[in-house]
Amino acid sequence: MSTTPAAAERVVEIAGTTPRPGRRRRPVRRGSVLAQVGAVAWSVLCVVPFVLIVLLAFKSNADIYSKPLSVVGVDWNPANFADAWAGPPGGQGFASFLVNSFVVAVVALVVALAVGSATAYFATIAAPRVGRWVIRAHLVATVMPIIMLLIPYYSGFSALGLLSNPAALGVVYAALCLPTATLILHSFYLGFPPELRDAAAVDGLGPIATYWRIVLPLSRGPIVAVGMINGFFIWGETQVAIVLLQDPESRTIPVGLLGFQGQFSTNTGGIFAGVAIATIPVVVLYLVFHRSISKGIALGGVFR
Amino acid sequence: MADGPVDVRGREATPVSVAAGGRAATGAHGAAGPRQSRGPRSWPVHAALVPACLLLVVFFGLPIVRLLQTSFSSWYGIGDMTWLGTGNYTATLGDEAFWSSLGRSAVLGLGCAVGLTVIATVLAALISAGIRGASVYRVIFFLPAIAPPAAVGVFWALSFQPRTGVVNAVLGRVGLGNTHAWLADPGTALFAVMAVAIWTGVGFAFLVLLGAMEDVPVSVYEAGALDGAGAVRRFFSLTLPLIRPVLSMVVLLEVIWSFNAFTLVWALTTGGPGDATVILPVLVYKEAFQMGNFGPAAAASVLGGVLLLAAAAAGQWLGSRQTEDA
Amino acid sequence: MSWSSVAQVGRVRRRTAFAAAAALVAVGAAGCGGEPGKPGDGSTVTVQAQSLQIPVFQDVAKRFEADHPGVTVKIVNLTDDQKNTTNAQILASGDAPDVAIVPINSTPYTQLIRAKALEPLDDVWQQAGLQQKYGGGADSLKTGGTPYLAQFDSVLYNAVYYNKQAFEQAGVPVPQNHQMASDQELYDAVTKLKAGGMDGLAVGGASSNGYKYGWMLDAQLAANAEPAALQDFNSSWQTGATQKVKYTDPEFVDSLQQLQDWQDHGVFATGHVGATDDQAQAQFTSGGAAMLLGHNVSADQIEKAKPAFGFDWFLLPGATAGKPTLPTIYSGDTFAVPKKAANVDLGKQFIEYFLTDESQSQQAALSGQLPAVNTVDPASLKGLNPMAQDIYAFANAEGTGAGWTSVTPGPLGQSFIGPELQQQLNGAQTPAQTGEHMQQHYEQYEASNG
Repeated sequence: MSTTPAAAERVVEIAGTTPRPGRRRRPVRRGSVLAQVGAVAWSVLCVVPFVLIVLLAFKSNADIYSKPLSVVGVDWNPANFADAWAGPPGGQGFASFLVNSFVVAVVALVVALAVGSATAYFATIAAPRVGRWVIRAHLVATVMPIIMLLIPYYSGFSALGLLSNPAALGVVYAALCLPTATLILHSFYLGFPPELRDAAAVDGLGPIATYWRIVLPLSRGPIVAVGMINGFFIWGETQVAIVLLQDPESRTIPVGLLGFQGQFSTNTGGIFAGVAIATIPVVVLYLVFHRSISKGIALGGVFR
Repeated sequence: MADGPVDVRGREATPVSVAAGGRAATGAHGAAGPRQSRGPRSWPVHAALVPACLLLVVFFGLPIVRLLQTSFSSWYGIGDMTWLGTGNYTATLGDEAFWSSLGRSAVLGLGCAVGLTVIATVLAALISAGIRGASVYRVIFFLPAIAPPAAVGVFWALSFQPRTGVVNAVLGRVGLGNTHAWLADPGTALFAVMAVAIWTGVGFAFLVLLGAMEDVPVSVYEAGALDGAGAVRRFFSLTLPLIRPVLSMVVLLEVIWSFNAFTLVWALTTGGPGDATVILPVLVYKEAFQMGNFGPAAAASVLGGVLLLAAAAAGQWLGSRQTEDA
Repeated sequence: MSWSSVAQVGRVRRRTAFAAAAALVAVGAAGCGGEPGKPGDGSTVTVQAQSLQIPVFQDVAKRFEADHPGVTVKIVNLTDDQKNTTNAQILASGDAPDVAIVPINSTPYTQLIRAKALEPLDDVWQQAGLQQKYGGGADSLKTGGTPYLAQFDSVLYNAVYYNKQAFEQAGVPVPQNHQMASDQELYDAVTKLKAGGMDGLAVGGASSNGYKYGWMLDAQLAANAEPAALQDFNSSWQTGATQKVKYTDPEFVDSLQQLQDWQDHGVFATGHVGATDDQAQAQFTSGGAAMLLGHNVSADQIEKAKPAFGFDWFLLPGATAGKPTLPTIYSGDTFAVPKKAANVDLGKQFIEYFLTDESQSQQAALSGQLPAVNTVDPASLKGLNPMAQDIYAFANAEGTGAGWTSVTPGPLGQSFIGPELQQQLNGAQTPAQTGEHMQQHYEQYEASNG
């Protein structure tokens, strides 16, 4: 539908790095007040819950219930965070959940990005039929509903004794993220200038060496973007984790948080502090790296 | 990153259509390209493709086979599977609970998709028209999609409580009463879930639609302005038709994801009250992991999965047809 | 896109894929093992414990290690939902603990018995003299005449805690002998409380799919149904038994109806069907609701929240005036030893140690748990919360009710009736319909379990 130079331009545009030359400067005159009201209203709806999460996490139990929206005259109880971090006595707290989430995320991202970028690149230079089938396979995998994978994952992991193993879950996530990673990077590599490849071939580099030495360093941007997108999915994924991480010591942040409610039945402040610990770091990370994410979505338009 | 002369192969596609039909991928290989790495040196290239295919087979292919096996068997989580034939399927298809959960999934899926697409479209239109503060809004609107769904669910579950939850506190201040038990009332529970799902889902749809809208060449708008069309009319008669393929893809994806919204429902209501929010994934989970009936649960998930795949296929076919027309 | 071509790709790569997959998975299993392999040499015994009870287990573990030099006890955390769902898989795997917590009314127990995965504990019962120590409830812990379980504590539930100040201010008379005599007394109390701006009975109706409503049903059934009928409800699910009283009979439906009457008269706090346990508790401790449904350990938990009022407890009325309910007894905290455990003998020894009078009386002080055996003098339970002691003494003096959901297998009883009662109390179905659904579910259960 669009010509490709414009597509390339758009990638940069969405990232917000350069203003479009004189194109998007026309102000909306009629109804601009209405437009602003609408945008502001939705922004408030987006931001306020996060503010509330932090606010409530600092309140004492009684005040969470009697003065949920108040800021003055409130009993503040920052000890909630210590409670959430340590967890209920004898149980696991966010310290343990964080470590597990980290292990899962690192394993998943390393595998998914390594395999995904290699597959995406080599699919563009392989024999056309092979490349086409590989991409089709990934497309089919994209629409595979997780609901169909839960029970077999569970029975397989149970049989192999891999239940409650964060590293094994990381591999599962790598496989689940692989289709989107490959497809997004594939569309990037389709636009990779063939002159660089030809130059490398003239220098006598084989395809793997070319990939490693020339292509990969130049793909840092998209790989980071894809990594961020998948990273947020992996960090928050619950449906598979709740089934595969049975042991409380192996639980990641989302699964641990869901179990928190039962164990902290007298400490709502602790539960909210848990919600805050689970949410705010992710939000901060996003605010810092939002440009990478927009780039990634612009590249592929496919996001889990 | 390298965005050099990419039109050598005459590729015509927005990156978004990679998901919509895969035609970009196939088109790219049709034209002649550099002849490196074909022929005798292609084995390392093909070897490099093996890990991905391995992962796909092990984590997608084999599980589907195993799921089918389980669905035709009787299995209680431990011990052996005993072959049953189609007993689980006949039981599931005759089970009212299955059809109700399917219905609820459909309601949730369609309601969420329509709701959030409308909101996302409006927001994207506002931002692409360049209202003041657009760059800030871009960042803010995606925020709800970033938070882990489990944390979002726990927060909203506490917020919907009568009297003490934040939602009711606000409604009370505004004078609309503060005793609505959103999650206790079977009539409102599913819609409370839908509201939270829409809140979380607008962000992604917004970014994709914004991308598509900004793709529309300015010449189209200039022509419309010359013809004397106002901003709103330009939107409806120019922008919308041009982004229709992307719009339909977004709607389709959101239907599929909301149909499948296990995490939000589980964190908000665990399927309750009663079975008012038991959508299909929740039914499968409860049947398998709480009741221990893995056979019928597998049958239900196969049926649900087939339905989703059919919807995805139908959606992609429709999407590709529309792109041809456009 | 042609899906048959995708299938072709799969077929072509399958041979290499299978071999590589097996290798990959084997490497993963070996490398990512995590904790060291379980020693079967008799030096470590692994015990499951729930987080609230860990202090007790740690104490018993310390004394066990002192009495058995060279042995270490490893305590593994077990969550509530795991206990009721996937613990069976853990116990049937190579990673099984030596001492597991398997409540008799949980899904895992049914699965493990069916798969014959539990060690018979006849020798433990013999050694510790459990047949006598468990008293009248001993036989209900056995399946097919063989004991696979050993109960390690008792829970008395269905005690309603109430806000003394709120009752005084509203002019509600204190229930005599901790028992409300009739429904009318309850309705009067609630009317007065609501006139004073307080909410009624807070129940965590959303937690675990409504298990608290199952609790309430237990108390009413024990008070309302004829003893023979109650006995039938509690045992007709066993293999070989026939059902004499159906779930559609008045013996069952009358209790369902009583709960419905309470709902219709506004006894419950607003939004109770959607409130989780911690929310219900907070409703009570923050002074919003005047009453809270709990059990013997709730007193401790309420005190931790430092409420601004004094509180006491009472029991809800039966359907017939003058025939109140009794505290319901839960015998579900039970140990089992999986056949796949690495140290079966050590596990059995640990269980016997846990059931000595000394351990049983210690646990009251450490976590408010009541002893499972009848050989411990209630007066000697030092450190037990006075209110819990009060309830315990009451139960010993007046007796307890046998809880239907606490002896019926989970898939049949607790997991099914909770959501049903949620729907009924929301007005989506009548008590008669709840009874019908229960009867249908029972018949399906019998058909697939024999």
